[in-house]
Amino acid sequence: MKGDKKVIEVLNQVLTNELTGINQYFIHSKMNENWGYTKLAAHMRAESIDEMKHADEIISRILYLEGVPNLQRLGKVNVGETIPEQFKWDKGLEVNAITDLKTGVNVCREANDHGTRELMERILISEEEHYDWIEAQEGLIENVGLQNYLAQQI
Amino acid sequence: MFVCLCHGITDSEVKTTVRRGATSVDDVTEKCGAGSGCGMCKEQIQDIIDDEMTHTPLLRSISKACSKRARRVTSDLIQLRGQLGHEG
Repeated sequence: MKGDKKVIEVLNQVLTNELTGINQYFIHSKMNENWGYTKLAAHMRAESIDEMKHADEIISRILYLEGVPNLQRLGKVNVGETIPEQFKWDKGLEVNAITDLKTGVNVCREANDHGTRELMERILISEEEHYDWIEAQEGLIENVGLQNYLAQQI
Repeated sequence: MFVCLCHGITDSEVKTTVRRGATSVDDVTEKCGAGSGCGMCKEQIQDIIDDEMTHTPLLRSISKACSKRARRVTSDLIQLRGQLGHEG
């Protein structure tokens, strides 16, 4: 089915965010694994795979709308040198993703493409959950201290 | 954070390069290698330069207003400031 041009554009923007997220979470996961923080590593790996599942759905949707999914374009992968820095950049990533998804939902509504809107809303909720998790970790670090927090991640 | 992933160069290394006299992205690339790979980090390098320059408003205004030769002098002043370890 031929899709609206603006909808395909916004889907590609969301796809770029997801592809960036896959890489950023993955490198953070591997760094945590290397440092020995296995619990954090496992969580970040799961986040990376979540982003890949989103990318999977977005690519299928773009193809369904007879557009071209742009897998070439990638945003800047921000790699933190410390765990709090990693959280900061992952949060930034989610903020971008959430902003673009909210724009996307509106674009879909205007174009009367409710299938894509439903997909974007679903991904939006998932990204908000990621954001919420990071905020919770930052809160924990503030409350119990970095060392105590990290001791729980081994 | 790692600014240039191609060469594994961090923001503090880029800052040090700016403090030692680099005033443009090309300068930074030439001196520490950051930005010479895929080029994705160039914008971020520019942000760091701008940020560092903001801390020396006088030098920045001289640099913007003056000729190439004067810019070299500015660059020397920034370098001197780096060697002295001054923040302002």
